[in-house]
Amino acid sequence: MTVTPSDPWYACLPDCEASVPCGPGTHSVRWEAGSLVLPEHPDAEAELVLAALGGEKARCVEVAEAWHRHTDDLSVLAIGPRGPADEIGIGWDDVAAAQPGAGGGFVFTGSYAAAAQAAVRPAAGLNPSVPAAVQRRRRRAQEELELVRRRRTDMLSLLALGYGFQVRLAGTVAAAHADAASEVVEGRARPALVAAVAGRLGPVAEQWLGIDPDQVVVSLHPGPGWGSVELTGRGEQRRLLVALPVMWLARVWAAGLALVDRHLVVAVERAGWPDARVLGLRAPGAEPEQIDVHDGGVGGGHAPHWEV
Amino acid sequence: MNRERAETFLRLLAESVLRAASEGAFVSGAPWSADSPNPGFPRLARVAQALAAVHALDPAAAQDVLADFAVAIGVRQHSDPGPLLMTRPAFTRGRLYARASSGSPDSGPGAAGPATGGPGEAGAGAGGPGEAGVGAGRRERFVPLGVTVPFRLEDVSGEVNLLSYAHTSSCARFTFTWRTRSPGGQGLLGRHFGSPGLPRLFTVSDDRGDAYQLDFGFTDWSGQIRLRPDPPDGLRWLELSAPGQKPVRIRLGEPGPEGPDGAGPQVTPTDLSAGEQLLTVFADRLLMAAGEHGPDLRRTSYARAPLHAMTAGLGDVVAALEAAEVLPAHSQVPGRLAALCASMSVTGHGLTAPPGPEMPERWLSLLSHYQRRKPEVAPARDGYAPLAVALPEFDGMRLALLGLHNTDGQTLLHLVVSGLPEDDGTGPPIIETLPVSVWVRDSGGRWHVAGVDMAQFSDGEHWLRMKLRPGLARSTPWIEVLVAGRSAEICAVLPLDWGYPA
Repeated sequence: MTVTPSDPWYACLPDCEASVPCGPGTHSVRWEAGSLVLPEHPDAEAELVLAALGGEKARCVEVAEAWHRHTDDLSVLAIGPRGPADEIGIGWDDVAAAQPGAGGGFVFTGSYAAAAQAAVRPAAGLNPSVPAAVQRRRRRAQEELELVRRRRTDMLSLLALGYGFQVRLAGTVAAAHADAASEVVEGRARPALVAAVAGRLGPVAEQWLGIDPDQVVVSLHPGPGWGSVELTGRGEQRRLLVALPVMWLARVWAAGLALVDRHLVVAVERAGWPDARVLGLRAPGAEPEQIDVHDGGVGGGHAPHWEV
Repeated sequence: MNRERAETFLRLLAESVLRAASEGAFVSGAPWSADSPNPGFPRLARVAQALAAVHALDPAAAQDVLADFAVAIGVRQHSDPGPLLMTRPAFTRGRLYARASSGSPDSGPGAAGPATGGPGEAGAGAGGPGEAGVGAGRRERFVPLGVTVPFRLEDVSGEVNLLSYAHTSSCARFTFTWRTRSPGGQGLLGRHFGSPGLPRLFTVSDDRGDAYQLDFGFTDWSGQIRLRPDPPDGLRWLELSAPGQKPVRIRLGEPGPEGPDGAGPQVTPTDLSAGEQLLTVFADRLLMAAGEHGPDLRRTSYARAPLHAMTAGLGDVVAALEAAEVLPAHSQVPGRLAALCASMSVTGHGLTAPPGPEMPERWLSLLSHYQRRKPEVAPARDGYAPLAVALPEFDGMRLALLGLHNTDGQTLLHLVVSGLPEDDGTGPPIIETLPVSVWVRDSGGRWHVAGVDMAQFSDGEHWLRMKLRPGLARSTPWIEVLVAGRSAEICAVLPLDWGYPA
């Protein structure tokens, strides 16, 4: 069975909204049709120009910038949720506590810490008596420290948006790397994508078949079609061999469609929300069946709850 | 070598560990402790270390995987994840696995550069006593000395025993031991050695009347003295003087010792994969560590605790090396390692290979020594044996043996190694990454394992001090030094001309 979707990967996802502390109040941030929207900041670009001239940057704008910086960042898949039960309880208080200058936020550990702290200490002390190579090293360390700081704030902010945004960002990242599954692409992304699929499919397979997630062996399906699912061996040697395209993460898993009516959903045949048609497997090795599904709305839009 | 599979293995392991940690927290209903690091992290870090050591994984990629894992754990802790988000995990700390020898990472064992010369003889100009070629540059010069230079500093008197003179492509150095005759001598001299005033204690000049500055580098009772400026080639002698003492002439024309039958180092080609070499050197380190506890090893779990810590996750490492295609599925090394663990009653390593086949003779010799009912008798008395032997080049490395001494009950072997990656201070120290096995068999047939004890990097050369376990008896008339890499085993039989402190 060949599935060649022409609709966007997010077509099964409803709009999603979160509240963000911004200035003295709280603003809404929305995800609509694959994009992040700031209803309270209609001219975000102008605000960015003002911020560049020394004005204060709105938190909502910072969040949107962070979103765009990480739309192809594979770390999002390594850090983000593996499923609805994998709760990541980051709130805006955590984000505030992590800001520079907030008490208790900045603690350095590990090998990087020494270099980073060394960079901070002499920042005001760059002078002609310090060898140029040392100054260059310090500058490099400072730049790296800034990157780490920004990355930290980015990650916390994106996680603080909640589960709905977390899975939508994961879907965005997966879609951005969908070509990496191709055999002809010498992508460094493949190991991260295999792990991303395995980390999310494992718990689903456990629910589906009662198999230990460590016994699920994942590969990326490179060609046309939905892939393959096969069960081999017995006892400890039992393995569920699964080959799925990277887009499964975006189109199926991110939309909350991975397991519907005791079927492992391997593809979306007709995308849409709140109604869609998917291909599901009743058992490994079986032919996929067409299943019409409907979002019952229990998830409040953030995490669809699909029913037959 | 399959780098993609190597990284995939590490990332899948991270998924498994994260899942286990999440389930544990979910079952207990308690938030994860922010104070205690997740136990899964060391497990991951060891696999990352091993894969990076055999060049199957770029250290930066390994760092990224571990950093993401640390953050993933942190944000699920329901506590302030800020510190973890600022962490770059130091996966190279406490490194257990030696870096594979240099050469093309993709190359097979032989491609890293087999030993110069065929089996049974040292390569022409690149091995054996006396001199060794260094390509188009100057010929290196290694001269055994055994010269004693008495000294007096304030109210402390003592002597410096020069074991060898090594003139390599980068510098000229004496390897030495020293002693004082005053109880407080070491403390006093410890303050003076390396201080601006010390070079005034000794003066040195050559047969052309040129004088040199001496830079002392040492710990405890042995080390190196570097001559500055670099002496010219062809010197016949140097003269070392201490105040109030007669100058001592050091002749530089004598060749190094040869084996009892006059033979130079023997080379036996080998063909170890990078993974086999890594596990073999790891076994050496395990045997070295086991020696700390001797006969207690079999009796008390307390004595075995450090070995359990070292071997934890070994099964993951073997699986990772196989996944990276740097350890053949039919390799006997994992089984030997399992047998070694079993013989020391070390469990929990996760190795799935059945123990066996028979362990190497040198492992058995050491185990038999460790498992004797009676502990070591009185340690060997102090003494020193001059050595200066350049071994044939192998695996892209050159080693030269520079001296041996018994000091404070320990036997220490000095070497210089070139051809290893440069130590820029950011990676793991060579103490943890020397990619060769070094063993010594004494004239009584007993084997001694060597582990790096001290190291100094200078101008592309690692000056090493290795500790032998167990120590040598002072009267040992000769030893056989075995240096084993991926492409060759080199064996040098060396007579020992012991000298003793006054």
